[in-house]
Amino acid sequence: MTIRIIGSAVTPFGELWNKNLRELLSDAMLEAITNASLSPTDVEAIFVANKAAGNFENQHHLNALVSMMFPHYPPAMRVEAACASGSMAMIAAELALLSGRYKTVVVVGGEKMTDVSAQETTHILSGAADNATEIGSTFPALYALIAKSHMNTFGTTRDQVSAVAVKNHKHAMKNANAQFHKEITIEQVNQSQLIADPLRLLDCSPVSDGAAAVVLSTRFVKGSTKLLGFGHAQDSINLSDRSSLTTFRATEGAMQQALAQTGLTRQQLQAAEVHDCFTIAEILAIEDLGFFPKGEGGRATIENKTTVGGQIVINPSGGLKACGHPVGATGVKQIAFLNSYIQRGDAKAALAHNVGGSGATAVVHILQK
Amino acid sequence: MQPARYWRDNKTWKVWVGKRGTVVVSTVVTVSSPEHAAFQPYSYVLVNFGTQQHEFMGSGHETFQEGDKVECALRKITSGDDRSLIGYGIKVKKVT
Amino acid sequence: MKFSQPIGIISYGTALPTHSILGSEIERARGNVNGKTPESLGVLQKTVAEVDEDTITLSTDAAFQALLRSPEKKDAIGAVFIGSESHPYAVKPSSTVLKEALDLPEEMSSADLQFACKAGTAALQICSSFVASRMQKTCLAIGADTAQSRPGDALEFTAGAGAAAFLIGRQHLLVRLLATCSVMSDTPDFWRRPQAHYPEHAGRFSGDPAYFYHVTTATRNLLEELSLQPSDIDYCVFHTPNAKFPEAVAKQLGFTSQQLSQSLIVKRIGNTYAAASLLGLAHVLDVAEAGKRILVTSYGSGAGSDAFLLETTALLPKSRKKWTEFVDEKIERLTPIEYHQYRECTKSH
Repeated sequence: MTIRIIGSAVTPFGELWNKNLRELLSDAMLEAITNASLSPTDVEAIFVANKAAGNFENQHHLNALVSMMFPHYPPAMRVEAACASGSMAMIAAELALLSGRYKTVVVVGGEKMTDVSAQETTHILSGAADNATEIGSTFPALYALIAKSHMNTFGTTRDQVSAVAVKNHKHAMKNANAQFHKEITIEQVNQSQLIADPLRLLDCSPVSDGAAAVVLSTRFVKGSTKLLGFGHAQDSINLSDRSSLTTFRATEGAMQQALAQTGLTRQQLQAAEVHDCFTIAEILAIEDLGFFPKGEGGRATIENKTTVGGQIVINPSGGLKACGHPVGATGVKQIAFLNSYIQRGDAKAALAHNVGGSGATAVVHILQK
Repeated sequence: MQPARYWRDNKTWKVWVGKRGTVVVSTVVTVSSPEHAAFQPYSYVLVNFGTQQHEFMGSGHETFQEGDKVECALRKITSGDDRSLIGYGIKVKKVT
Repeated sequence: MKFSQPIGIISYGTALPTHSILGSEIERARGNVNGKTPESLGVLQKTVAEVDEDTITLSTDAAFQALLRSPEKKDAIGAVFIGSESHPYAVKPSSTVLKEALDLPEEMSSADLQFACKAGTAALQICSSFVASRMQKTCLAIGADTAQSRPGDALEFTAGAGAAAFLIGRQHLLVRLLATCSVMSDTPDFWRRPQAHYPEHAGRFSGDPAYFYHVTTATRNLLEELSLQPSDIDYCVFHTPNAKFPEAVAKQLGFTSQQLSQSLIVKRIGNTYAAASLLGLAHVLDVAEAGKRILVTSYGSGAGSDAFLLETTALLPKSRKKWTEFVDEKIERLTPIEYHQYRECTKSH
């Protein structure tokens, strides 16, 4: 049974003052359904990804909220796995389709983050860490420990880390929905405000509003992108119980599963949307996904091996850093973006990599024309 | 800090007070959650205690390097207003 | 009140914050670069508690050291009293937090004490009475403070932070407690109302009718009861609101500067309020040889004094050989901060 992406949509990402969460979810779903040449009543079930609407605006029960956007109130399920909520909702939808229960479903991910202060957002996002053993942590702090470890172990340099942000901002210039349309330099990243050393403001993905949706079906639709397979792996929620601070074992595991299920090789992938919540996260991702040897991700980036004309295009959308990171939307946006990317012929096969927390959850999807 | 959560957590303090370890890696947090804002900037430290690792906030505004010897001590871990229950917990301080 | 049976100090510990502020820095912040207030008070720097420290955390640090040094098991501790002017709560005791952090027995007598700067020695007296009456085997007496002072006030030069903890019992005595007595009267030299953040003081009235009257009376009463002269004493420790008052009262009572000097850590740490006399005593115990007599008289505003006569045993110098982290080492490690940092640190105390 083959799962196909028969429609997809991404809203603009950014500070969307005039849009609330339900409008974002509704906009994305309606556009995706329209792109699929379907009507709303063709949707048999909805899988909604969201990390923290309960904290941001005291709105739970999102499955009920999205279901009532359809005249026939289809069954709906909300899925949360911190920043991997989007890809986790994808997995829930895929398993439902593979079970034969449904033939056509919508996956929508969205987050409305900009109504609260930066400090409150820091607090809400820190909920993805272990609140028993990681008291006082912030996401920048956890990834700062990872960055320092990677720099100390492999000699990854400040400039190499900054090169990730520079590249992703450049890629975002061609993505109309991206939050930032502004190129930056290595010097600007290096001199931006210190958040948790060595990570600076421009090492960090922004706070964003936005949503994305895909329509998945097991019905044959000619020319549609195939969702070939996925991998899903876990590791400890806290850093202190990890076997390594410089490798996400969950990413390695998810990649192994995805390649095994699809039978593809890494060389057959032309692009990958990876989880660059922080610049160092992209460096780990491209190493742990096996595109570059461990410790070489920084050098590969600064040597332009991960942009157009290089070995593989990493984060053609601009990634979380430049496209934006409405947390629950990201995993779905990666799929939606790669669907469009493949449909317009920019790649034959591509990979989406979505991570929860400081590496405790990792999901890899492989798409192919 | 909520009273029931405080009461459950205070049973764990005795496990750590006085325990010594070595810093694996450390960072300085300059933007934190509101309940830790009064302590900014503070260190966030991964410590190797021999049989296990654990992450703790650094005491006061101390900064740490890899290899520093540290000891766990009772400190305030949350800052609230003058009506709230004071959140005590474990932080690490350098051992000389 | 003489103790007829052996009771005394089994172990002791101290805690100082890591920061200090120089008196000259406070003068500079006031625009008095050539100001001489620190010299006139005899206090050149004072300790400053960090924003995440308070009386409870300092008490815990001091008590932890006392327990580390103690040959007795902590499950024999049957009472803990903490004396302070800066208990973090008006209602909810400091001692219960310490009990959890140090895993002390649940079966425990306790209360938080307040008698201004003599609350720590009041804890010592109460613990001694529990032990002497055989109500408990060992007890923990703590004096601790993160003292408050209004910006611009004279007290800003001296109000410091610190803690000292003493384990009192009947065996393994480092120091025998021979006798104690107290005096008190309603003398309003210094006070703080519950809703007020800073204390009020009566200026020069806190001298003769307050500090000097009570310290000299308690000391003379004790010496008279014991038929002792100042010359029979090896070390004297008086409460240290600054360095000048204890120097003056020692002279009034007939003690020499050599007898007093070991206790005058106030010059380097400021007035640690309920911890002050106990920290002075701890500094003496860090160096005293066996068989030395120590007189300690505290003072608490409002007002009263507790006087004690102690005598060191051979176990003290013997035990010291195994110890680390003496008071002087902690003082040497103090790192001076600037005035604006000091204001940040102290706004929550």
